[in-house]
Amino acid sequence: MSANRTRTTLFAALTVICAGFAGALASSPARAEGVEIEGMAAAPYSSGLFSGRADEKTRQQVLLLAEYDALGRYAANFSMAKFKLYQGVEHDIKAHIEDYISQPTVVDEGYRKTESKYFIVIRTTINTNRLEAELNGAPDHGGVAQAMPQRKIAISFLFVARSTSSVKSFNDRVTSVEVNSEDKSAKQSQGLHGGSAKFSSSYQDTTVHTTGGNTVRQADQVTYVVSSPEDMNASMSQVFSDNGFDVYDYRDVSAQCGGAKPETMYQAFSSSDILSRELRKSAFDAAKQCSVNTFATGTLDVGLQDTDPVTGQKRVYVSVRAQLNDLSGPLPRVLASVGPVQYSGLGPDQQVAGRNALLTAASEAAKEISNQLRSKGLN
Amino acid sequence: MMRAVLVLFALILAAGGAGKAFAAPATVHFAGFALAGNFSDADKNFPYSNALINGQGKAALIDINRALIDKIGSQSLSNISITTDLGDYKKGDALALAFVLTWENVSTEQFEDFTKVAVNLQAEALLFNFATKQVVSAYPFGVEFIDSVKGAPSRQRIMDDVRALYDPASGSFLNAFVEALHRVRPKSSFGGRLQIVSASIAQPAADTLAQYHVDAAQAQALLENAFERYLTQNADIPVLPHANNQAIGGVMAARFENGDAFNFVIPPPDYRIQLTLTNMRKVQVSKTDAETAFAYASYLDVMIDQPLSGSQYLDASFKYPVVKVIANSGTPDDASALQESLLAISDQITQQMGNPSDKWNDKWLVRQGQGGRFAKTPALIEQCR
Repeated sequence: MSANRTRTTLFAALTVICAGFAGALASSPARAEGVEIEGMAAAPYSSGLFSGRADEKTRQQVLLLAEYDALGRYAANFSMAKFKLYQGVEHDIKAHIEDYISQPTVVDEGYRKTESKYFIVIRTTINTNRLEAELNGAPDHGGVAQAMPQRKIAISFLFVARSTSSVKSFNDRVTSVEVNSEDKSAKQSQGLHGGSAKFSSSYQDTTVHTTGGNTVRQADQVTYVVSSPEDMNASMSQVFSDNGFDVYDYRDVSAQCGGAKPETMYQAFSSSDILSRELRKSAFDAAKQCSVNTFATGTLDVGLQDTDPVTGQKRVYVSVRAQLNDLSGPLPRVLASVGPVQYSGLGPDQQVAGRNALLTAASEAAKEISNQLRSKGLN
Repeated sequence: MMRAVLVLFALILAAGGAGKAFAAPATVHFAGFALAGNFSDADKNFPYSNALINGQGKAALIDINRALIDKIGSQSLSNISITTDLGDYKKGDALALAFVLTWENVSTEQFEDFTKVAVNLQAEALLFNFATKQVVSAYPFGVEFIDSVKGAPSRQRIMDDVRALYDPASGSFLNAFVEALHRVRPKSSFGGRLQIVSASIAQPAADTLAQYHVDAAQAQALLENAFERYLTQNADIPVLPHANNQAIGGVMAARFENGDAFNFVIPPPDYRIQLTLTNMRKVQVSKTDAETAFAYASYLDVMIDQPLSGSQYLDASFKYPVVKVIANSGTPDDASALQESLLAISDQITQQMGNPSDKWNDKWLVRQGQGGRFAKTPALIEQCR
């Protein structure tokens, strides 16, 4: 009896120690990356006479439904392409939901007498890395996949960040036209009546002035300072790579397989939103030559800075648009298209604010391209 | 065997004690002096302090921050370790501390040929966690300076009075901040999240404010800041900030090496607080041959709910006055008194949320017979600790 009690005491003491360590870990300021979201569920329940709290079995069922709801609320913010992917694996994720969310915090729970239901509201953290990995492994859903060889997609891309260098505005060109037309008519008649003669004459002169013309307005001619910051490229490469693409630096593609130089491409983007036929063909041919079957191009236009009225920090907007082409066929085919979409960044100066906006825009564009490809069953 | 257990128990206690002895205080990154509220409203909300810190190439701001760092360095703080180094909030080094000015009020009362000038500066030692995006706690403090001038005070005279309060050498205001640091208790775990999601001014209240030349938007910001500050102080809980602002998103974000700290987004709350200032009134409560007492009352509706379930934790209307006694020959500063009334009602209601008193309720609930309105708030506060 005494030994038993001693063992119990020892066990209790050790439990306290373990709980202390667990508490220390739980209260550690370092937190896992993820997105916090709430979920709610309710289920029919007959309340006990004296207790407003459901039995443990019912609670666990409602808790699970609340976790599903939280996941659904998170997925509702996905783009169309990503949501299609999610739908494909939703059943599998729910079957192992504990792998995708952290231990939920119960925010509210109780019995609703009017509905005879027991409800629970939770807040939980979605393990976004785990979920993204699951979405990346999503099975093929579309017929489009048949068009491309079933192997890992090799991608090369050239994205440029542009900030306005100069804007040339044109005055309206006005053309005025005035038409003066003159209509002259004359009548004469004469007749003899007995011994007298009669002569009459009339003359009419009508002048018509018609004015008109047109005004030609010409769009501003904008030139940009173009760059391709390494951290922006690194951010995009990481997203593509995390999504299972084989990423090839365009500098290597152009050097190895004879495409237009990156600097030439930058120059082209400095005065135009699109590449010339020749440059585009050169880049695509080089990629094909290097067995890279997709090529993405895009621009990230950095706007002028202003001051954020709330924080007083500098604020910069970046507008991103991108396009990914499939090069596996005889003709390039657009596989994914993004934007234009705008993102903003804040910082103590224009550089930091611009960089924050650029990194967000680049990363989001790369994610959207990846999602569009996956929703088509590619990669 | 029992001896063995006792030895083990002693070891456990010793280990616990040692753990405490060696537990390092949390590191907080000091961001210096900042103004509360929106950057674009700084000139309106803090006309003198804003002019002071932004004038002459921000020389005064630099002096204030330098003096604060010196004063902090001379303190022996066991609760926190303050550094001016940059942190990395992604590695859990996410606490920023700032001296945040929350209210600047210059009140004047005329007595025959003289004017009494009262400069009241209210501030808080604000602790913000950039990992959880929460106001961990705010520790209010303030100073007042009374001056008397013949005739009407000039702007320069008032400016000199304000500057005196910030004076690094004698500055009682800076010392008050340093004293507040001893009360700072950085939390490392967080429960439910409360946030003021709206604060509105109803028309009767707006009319009264307009009558006494108080900007309604300014009163709204004052109410939001005060309720948030007193809630974290009186209930001892962290809260989500009601909005990003120049102190958190500007000055405090700069204390981290992560450039994206400026881009932070406030997470959604678990529990919403909605405030409606329904009315404000000025009532004469007594008069003698020499003095008159006026009560300046705020009428505030407070609603707290859970957005998904719709559960309500508080839904009640309160009133609370501040009383000002002035000489019959004087002119009351109604605008300042009305603003002070907003601070007082925020302080009072937030005290009740964690520890309600029937007596207080009977007196300050607008509608009688609504006792028990705070029945659910103590559990809510506990949930947020």
